[in-house]
Amino acid sequence: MSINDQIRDRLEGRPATRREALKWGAAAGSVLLLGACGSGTSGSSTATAGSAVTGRRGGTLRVGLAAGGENDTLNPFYQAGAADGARYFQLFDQFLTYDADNNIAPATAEEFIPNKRGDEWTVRMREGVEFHNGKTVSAEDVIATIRYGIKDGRGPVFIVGTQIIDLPASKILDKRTVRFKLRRPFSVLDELFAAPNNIPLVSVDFDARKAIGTGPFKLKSFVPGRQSVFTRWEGYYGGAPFIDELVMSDLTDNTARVNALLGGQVDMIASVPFANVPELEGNPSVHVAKAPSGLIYPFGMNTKTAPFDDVRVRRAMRLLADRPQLVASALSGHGRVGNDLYAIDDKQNYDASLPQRVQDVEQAKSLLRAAGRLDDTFVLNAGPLGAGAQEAAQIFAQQASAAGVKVKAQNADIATWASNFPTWPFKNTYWPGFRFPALLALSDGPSAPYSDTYFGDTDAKFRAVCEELYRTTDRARRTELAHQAQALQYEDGAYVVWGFVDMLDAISTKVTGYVTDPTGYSFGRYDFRKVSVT
Amino acid sequence: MRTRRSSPLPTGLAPLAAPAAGALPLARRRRRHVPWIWRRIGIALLTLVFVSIALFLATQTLPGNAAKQILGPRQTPATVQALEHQLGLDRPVVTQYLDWAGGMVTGDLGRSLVNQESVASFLGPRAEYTFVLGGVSIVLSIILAVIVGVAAAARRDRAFDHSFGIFSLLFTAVPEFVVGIGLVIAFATTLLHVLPAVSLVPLGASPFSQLDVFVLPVATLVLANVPYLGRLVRGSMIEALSSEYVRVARFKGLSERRILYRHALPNALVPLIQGIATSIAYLAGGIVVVEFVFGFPGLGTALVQAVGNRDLPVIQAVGLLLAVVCVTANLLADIAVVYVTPRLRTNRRRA
Repeated sequence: MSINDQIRDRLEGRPATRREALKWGAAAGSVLLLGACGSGTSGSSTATAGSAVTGRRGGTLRVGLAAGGENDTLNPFYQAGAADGARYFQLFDQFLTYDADNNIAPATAEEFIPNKRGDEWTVRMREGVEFHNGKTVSAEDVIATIRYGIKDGRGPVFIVGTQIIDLPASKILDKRTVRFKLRRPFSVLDELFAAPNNIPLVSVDFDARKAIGTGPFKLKSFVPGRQSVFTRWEGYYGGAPFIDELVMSDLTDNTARVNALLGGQVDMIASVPFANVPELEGNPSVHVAKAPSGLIYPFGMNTKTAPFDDVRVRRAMRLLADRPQLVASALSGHGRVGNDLYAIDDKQNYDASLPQRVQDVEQAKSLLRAAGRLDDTFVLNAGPLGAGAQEAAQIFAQQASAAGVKVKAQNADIATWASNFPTWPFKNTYWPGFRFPALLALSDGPSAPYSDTYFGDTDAKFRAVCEELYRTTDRARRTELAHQAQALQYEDGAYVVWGFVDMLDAISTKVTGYVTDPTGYSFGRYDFRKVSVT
Repeated sequence: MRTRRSSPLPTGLAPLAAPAAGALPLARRRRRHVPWIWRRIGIALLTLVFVSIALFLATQTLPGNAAKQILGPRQTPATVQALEHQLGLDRPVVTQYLDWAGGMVTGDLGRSLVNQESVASFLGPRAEYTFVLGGVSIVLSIILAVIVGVAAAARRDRAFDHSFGIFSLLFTAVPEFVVGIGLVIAFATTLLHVLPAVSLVPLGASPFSQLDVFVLPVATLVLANVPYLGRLVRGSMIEALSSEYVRVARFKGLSERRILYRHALPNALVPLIQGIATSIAYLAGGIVVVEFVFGFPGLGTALVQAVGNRDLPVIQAVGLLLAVVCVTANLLADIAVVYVTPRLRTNRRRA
């Protein structure tokens, strides 16, 4: 956020960022800051302080989502679309979460601690957390969550439950505590449990259609592709939200979404189209919230297939990218330049000391010549993953062609992209702003379940560093290893991370209390807990 | 059977009962149309079968399938296969089609592949909205087209006629979504804020409780159809007005109004009836666009989403429904033309 935006927010009495919200909460001197909370949980301390963030109780908040369709689902274990994520954050909590500084913080679990070897994790749940049906969270629910994830057969919980956690060998220690036994040491299990929209907490009697969780809102009604309505959950452990009712409408068409806000039919919209930003910024009844995030639309190169099994070709592709131009054109300037590394906002692990890569056409061509690929045509398949994703591919292709390298950008629709992206040699992909260890485990680390580059499987040095990282519970040593891994990703890796996307959301001036964060989900992971409507 | 010989109508343009036909016995006359109707209905049914096969094949050629769409971006081949099997997508194409067709014949439209809801209950409320939208639009278009067309013909080459000409050209040339967006800007977001820009309809609400949501979409469709129909009416009215019998009627001293409405207009109806059938077919396409622009909860948006999701049962159901509407409209138009044109009814041997 620009300094002007922060000043304006302060003058208008809004917490400008999650950091602000927490400062206010701390200032109110909440007693619950001790114990479970690290540098301040996203909501538990401030919310229970109650008067910390001033808000008007009551009213209905209407939000326009930028995604959604007939395949919308309330299933928290596997979601197909971004709109599902928006609903997930209302209905369900995770065990852990990210705080304002993008560090891991407790959510419904107050402790999540490994043993020295990293093959046993003790999870103690917070006291008095209640599901929407009034049932209190217990250790059985923790086990049930993993079991349901395995049964669902898809998604991160399935991976965690079958490949990492050895559920039969895990034990309930007491009413609120579970000890997970892992199949092998995995020191970053907490990272997977903290990454947004990954592992929800559900109860023993979970039913996907009823969608009962511990989240700040309860489900009132849901029509796939149209609308979902939620009501305040009075028993929310972090303090009940201010608004009575939340209505989220799927408004995938850009024009319809912007019109709905301008016409007063919704109070907030996610993902403002770039073309409408100047118009909305000039409109006095609307505020555009712009926040840098870790969301990326990188180009991925499949290291298992030619020609990208040759590291020289991969280096060449990275050198062909004119990153500032990609950000300026594909994102209309709403973004930060990337350095072929993800997790830029993970201050604990990101190596900011690596020099910013710039376009070097001569070096790129000489690498391709050495690899014998200078006259090849490279096809870059691009799916409509978000605003700017396909455009970036087109622009990159133009940049390469201008340099004398034949790159052809080929657009694909989302269904085609989804079925082919793991095997396509050269394609675009997307990752939210998770912390480094979570992205490593999910994207290009060894045996990553959602890999599109297989870098962790094909590069022995990288694999060794990652595997050591997964065994290291000492945080300082882990950061060192993270830096080593990034050095290898920087030199030999298979992603062209050309830029980080800024979140652009628009809010009516009648609404206060919204937040933003760098996770790549609008409204700070659709956090409406402190929102009021005047 | 009363013939129109009593009024001063010619044999030229106007479809009249010719004396020779009037001489045939009633029973023989009636028997002659029956085979024709059954033949037309048979052709209509065959058309629907072809439409369904075409939709099926077209969807098969699209890359991806419903299973891949449901699973979304981070899918693995194993889960895709499992879901494909569950949805029956791994069966041979012909089996899938015959299975679905068998269900159709017994009235079972199947289940949406994507959200497992019964297609009938899923599309029911949407069909209600679309039919109200389409029905109101076509009725309003017809009424306005007749009024404006007759007025333009009566004031031919004068100011009203010229402005109507320009208006028709403008709205024929401009695509419907542009008209729709223009109306949104004028009435919902920028100039005035009196109507909703997006059709955010609460679940289960009846169309008649949400009338404000219909105003702009109906206006868009009417503005798209009135030029075509209006010019049709105008053209055939001009022809009718310049015919002999109208001149005779004028000599007889009948008032202009009486001539217009009782003599000229009925004869201008035939092209209008056929024009309405064409408009309905055109409306089916226009409705999809307009629904999309306004986020209208109808069959159009359901179809667009179903295609994106490769949700075959829904695509088939909506596609066939629209085809039935078009085919029925054409069939009714043909029947109506025959009944309005007694000569066609009875003079088939000569025709």
